[in-house]
Amino acid sequence: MDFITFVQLLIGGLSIGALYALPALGITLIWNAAGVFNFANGEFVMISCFLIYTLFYTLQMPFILCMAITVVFMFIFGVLTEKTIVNTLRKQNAPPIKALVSFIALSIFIRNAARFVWGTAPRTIENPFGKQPMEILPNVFVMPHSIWIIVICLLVMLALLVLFKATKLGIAMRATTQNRTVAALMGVNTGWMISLVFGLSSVIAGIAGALSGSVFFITLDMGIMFGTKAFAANIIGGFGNPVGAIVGGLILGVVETLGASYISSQYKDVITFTLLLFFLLFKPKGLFKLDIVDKV
Amino acid sequence: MVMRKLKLNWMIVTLLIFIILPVFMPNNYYVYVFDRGIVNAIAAMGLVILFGIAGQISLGHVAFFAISAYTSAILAIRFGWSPLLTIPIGTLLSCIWGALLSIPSFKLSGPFLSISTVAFGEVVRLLVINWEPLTNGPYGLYKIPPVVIAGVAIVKDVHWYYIFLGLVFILAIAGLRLKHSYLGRALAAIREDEVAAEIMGVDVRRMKTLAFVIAAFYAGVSGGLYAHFAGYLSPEIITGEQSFNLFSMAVVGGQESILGSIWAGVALTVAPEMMRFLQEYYIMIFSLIVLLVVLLPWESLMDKFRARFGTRKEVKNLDCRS
Repeated sequence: MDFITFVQLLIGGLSIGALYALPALGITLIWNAAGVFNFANGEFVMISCFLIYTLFYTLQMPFILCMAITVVFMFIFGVLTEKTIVNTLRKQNAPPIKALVSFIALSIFIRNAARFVWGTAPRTIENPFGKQPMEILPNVFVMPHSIWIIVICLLVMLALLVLFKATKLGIAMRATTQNRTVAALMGVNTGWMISLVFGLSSVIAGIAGALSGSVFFITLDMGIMFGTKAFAANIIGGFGNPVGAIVGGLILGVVETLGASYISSQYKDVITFTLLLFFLLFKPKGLFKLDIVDKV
Repeated sequence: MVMRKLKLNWMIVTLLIFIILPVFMPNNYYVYVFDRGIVNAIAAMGLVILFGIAGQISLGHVAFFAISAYTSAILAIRFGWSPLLTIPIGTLLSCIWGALLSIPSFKLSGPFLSISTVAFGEVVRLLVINWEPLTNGPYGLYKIPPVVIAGVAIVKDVHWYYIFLGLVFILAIAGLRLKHSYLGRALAAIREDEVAAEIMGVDVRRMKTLAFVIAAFYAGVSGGLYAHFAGYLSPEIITGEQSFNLFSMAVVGGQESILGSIWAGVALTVAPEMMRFLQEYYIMIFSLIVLLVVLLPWESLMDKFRARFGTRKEVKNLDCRS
């Protein structure tokens, strides 16, 4: 394995890592805003992937339009989820374990509902970014979708950064996250803000799902895969830290790709789980320790 | 006192209904389905103690079932030992693993713990599939010897039915005693607030280990019995979906209610058989039921119900004192 192969693998790994980083970011946003763990985030990725399959492959729409429809759909879906589950439980003042149970049930429900709609057969879509490898550096060939995925994910993260740092809406969201009571006293509609964060998080998951159709097989189990990978990325980066989620996802993608090519591709998931277990048992706070990890 | 009497009556009613139930069953197949339901109910009861009372989520619970079932079956097939000996060994092994799985629960809680238990369940399932020399892999173990009591091999489903019934009630009484003892209250305290429980003098680690071991014990008993009752074991019965089924039995039965989990265990096993037209989508229905059970405000609904029909409310207060 020479240097050029390494660079190619690194870029491929980064693109897969970016796909893991997006749902991981979504989980972190929800955790910070509402204090619940979105067990169904992987399933959000899965249904948006199937949606892309239907729109792009069956209905032959242009890819940009498919993504736009997916994003809108996922936003509505996320807001509805918040209104039906999180809001109901908050009104009852329920213990956090109830939210967890209902999200577990929701994830199982979504998986089986998707089976109801799309069936069990694995699907593929034609790669919307082209099949011809590009030569980005002398002798370094990369599939165009890797570059596109990295670029789109970077754009999404930049957009989020701008949203949270520079706009009034983002500042209101952050205020809600930090202290709901004080934010409400400052005139922020906190209930609506949390719904928005949910919508935002599922939009992020939807974008990851839309892009991952060109890399992975579209199966029902991909939700579990994305869920565990996103969770692992969060644990590696430090739970509750958005930057940690992104870095954790990228690390996971790179380690997985390099491990698959240098050790064996059969042990790809074993590597992930080993990393996850290692961090859970020995370094539960992750790489980027955040002070407010234990949110009640 | 009122509550205790009520509970006793309720239990006797449940027992009587189950005792006369086989008489009304049209054929042997239904008896078989009910047998499986009671086996599931035993495992769900353990989950009630672990999840409902102690508040620790286990989403890989079928792993304990699998450990005990496979241990017992392999010992009985390979060495020809009596199932009366191998079932306790399998249960013991499952308890040991329960104690080991409680170690992550010292540090982790909520979503973190549930993911670790999912991982545990997956690891056990993959081991069963891939460790072919021992478990026969995806083909499964067959010709598992039946239980022989006093020279009589128990192969009839009806006989199993009454054995299971007896066991489930012994275990239910044990569970109820546990729930209303010091241990049960300590576990409930951990569920409500770990720090407060520790301040009140509850040894949190020991209690968590105890809860996991008890849950593993119930699952182990049901697994060991199932192996010899069915005579056939395959990795298909230990999937993550089955874990979720057990979990939903514990939730639908009322989370803290041990008798409720018996009803839920039997009902949620029998219902898919009765509703064959749903095929594999019954899990979708299950998850919806679980969502409804969790999301609907039962407490206030019950209060409204009581207010309208004028049922005495002090029953609830008595429960705390007894």
